Amino acid sequence: MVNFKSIKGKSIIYTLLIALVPVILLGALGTLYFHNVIKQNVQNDYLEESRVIGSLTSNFLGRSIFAMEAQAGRSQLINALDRRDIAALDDQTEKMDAATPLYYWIFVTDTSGRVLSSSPYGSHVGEDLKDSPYITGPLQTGTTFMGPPALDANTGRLTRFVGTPIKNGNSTIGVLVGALDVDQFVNVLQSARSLVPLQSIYLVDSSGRVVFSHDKRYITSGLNFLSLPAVQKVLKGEEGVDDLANLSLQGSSIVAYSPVPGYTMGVLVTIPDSAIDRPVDNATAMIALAVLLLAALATGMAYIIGNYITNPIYRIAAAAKEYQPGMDFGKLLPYDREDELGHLARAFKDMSDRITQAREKIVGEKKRSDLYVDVMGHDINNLNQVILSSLDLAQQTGSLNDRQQGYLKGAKHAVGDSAAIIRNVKAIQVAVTELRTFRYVDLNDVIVDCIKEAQEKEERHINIRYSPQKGRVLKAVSNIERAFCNVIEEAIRNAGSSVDIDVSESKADGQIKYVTNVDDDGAGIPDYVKQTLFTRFQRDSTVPPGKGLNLYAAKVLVEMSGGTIEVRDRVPGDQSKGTRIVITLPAILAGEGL
Amino acid sequence: MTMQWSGGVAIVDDEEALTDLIAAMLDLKGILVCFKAYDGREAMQKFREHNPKPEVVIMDYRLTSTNGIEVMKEMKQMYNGSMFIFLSADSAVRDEALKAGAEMFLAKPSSMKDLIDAVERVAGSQRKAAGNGPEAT
Repeated sequence: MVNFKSIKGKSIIYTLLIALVPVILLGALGTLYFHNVIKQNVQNDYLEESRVIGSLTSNFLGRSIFAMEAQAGRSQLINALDRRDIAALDDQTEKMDAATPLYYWIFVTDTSGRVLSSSPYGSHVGEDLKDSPYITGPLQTGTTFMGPPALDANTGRLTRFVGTPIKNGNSTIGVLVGALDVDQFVNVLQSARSLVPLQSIYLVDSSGRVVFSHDKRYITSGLNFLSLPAVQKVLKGEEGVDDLANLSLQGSSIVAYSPVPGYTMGVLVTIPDSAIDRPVDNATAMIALAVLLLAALATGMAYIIGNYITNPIYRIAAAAKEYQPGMDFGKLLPYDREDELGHLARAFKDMSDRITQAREKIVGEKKRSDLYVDVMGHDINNLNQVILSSLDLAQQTGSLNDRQQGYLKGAKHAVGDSAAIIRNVKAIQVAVTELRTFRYVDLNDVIVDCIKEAQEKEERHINIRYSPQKGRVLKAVSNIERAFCNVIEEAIRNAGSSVDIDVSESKADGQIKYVTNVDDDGAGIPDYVKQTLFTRFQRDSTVPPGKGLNLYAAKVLVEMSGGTIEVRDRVPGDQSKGTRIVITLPAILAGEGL
Repeated sequence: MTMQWSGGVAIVDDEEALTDLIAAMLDLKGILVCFKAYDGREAMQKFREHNPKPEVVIMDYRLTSTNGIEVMKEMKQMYNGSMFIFLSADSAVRDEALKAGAEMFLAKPSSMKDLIDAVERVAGSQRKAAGNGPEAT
């Protein structure tokens, strides 16, 4: 599971935002924009194609007619026809057939429409074709006439007969007829269907009839599109790309139309309705594919960045977070890299090694410290016990004078102070080195025990006033009672005749706290001493170590327990009326961890 | 008012000088010292051999090769009538010692007065519980 607050998650998000999102947005917008551009381009292509086909048709027809007219004007032909020299006429017909590859059959008739010569198909000589339009047309108009598409009965080939008058001077003496090889032009049209294989091409004459097409079936079937608006427009010489009317032929639509230059004819390009958007769709799909490729590229970049840059940083960060002294990260971190990440990994390893060494040193120091405290706590106290017992025994002899008794008493006090120093040092060490050792204590029990302990030590009679109340629970360091005992002991030591201990509750920042006031009626403490009362044990203090350790230990223990300790005048503003020490600790209420 | 000590007091501490001092003080106060031992094994042996068993055993915590709590447990298994006062510099084991059956725990250094008071109090409470209260002499 990727944590999106981590550098790994952020790198993924940022890479996606920076690389992938723009690509997708631009791709989507580009696809929408270019969809129309592509559609326009495709329509233009269709129109251009119709223009090209129109030119090809015009060229084809022009060449066809020119070829016939050029042959009809040859003097050898005119002379042979004029003289009715059939042999010469056959010779000329044969030559013309060879010279006009657009025509597969050439024959000559007289003005009555009778075939005089034919190449090939000589069997047609003598036939009477006077009713054929390609005979009557030239004879009546004196110009070349092209007949409608028709199947040649001789060959079964699709053809259009072209008749050209043969003139001797201003007189028409016969008709030169050629059978145009329509298949050749059909092939040209088929090869022109390059844009979309499914497109159809129709050429209509002035009557709207289909006279040429890429498919011969449409030429011979007698199709007539005159009713279509596009056909009416193209026959007026207009061109266009709109699908102005459905062709109603196999579900196709006209996508472009263009006139045939020089002729009252038009080119129609049609596409089946099912395929009309295919070029646009294909082009759009290509753009979408390009977007996907760019997206894949961006994802690949994200992977490379993540794997090569972000992931090592992530692992270094995780290692720093989960670091435990002595932990070996093995090959998890890129120690071998020569770039900044390698420097960072090696720096991390160097630091972690140093931390491990420092920790080992600290652990060693702690063990040594524990040993010292243990020696103090056990061995020195054993010796203190021996000394104290010896002094007690000496006192019991009964042969000492008052001065000697005083000496012994002083020595016993010193032993007590020695034990107190050890006790406080141990208490501080336990609190500092065992931070997590908290326990629940009843404040009343602590105070009662401390009063008892202090009274046993104090030789004077001090009146201690305290109203016990159980149920005030604290969560504090395991030896918090040492703090209260030290404060109460100090108060009793400094008191004139009485000590008052009072516990109250206060509420601050939404938390209940127990406030313990320990008041003595002694001589009080000057303000300048109050400021340093709890720190007199610190190393920079000029007070000898051990003196003032009671209150320093109390401060450490209280603060370790989340509380505060402060010293005030018992009577505010009058330091000569005694001292008040205030211990404030957070309360544990019923149901809170108990 | 002094008490009659039938079984007396045993002292177990690895600090010989202290053991002797305590014995001397008890003797001065008229309290019978039935035996002194300086390590756990010696203490067990003397406890086993000594009859009647000591009424009170003053026990240190740190002893050679064992600790006072273990020794106390063994002694209690052997004879459950003796009372135990721990006199130790290891304040941290106070609760453990009391839980294991010790009657009192005194932290070193403690005055001889406190120790004598403790011995008399423990012995007195035991005799009271046994129904033959302190005998004045």
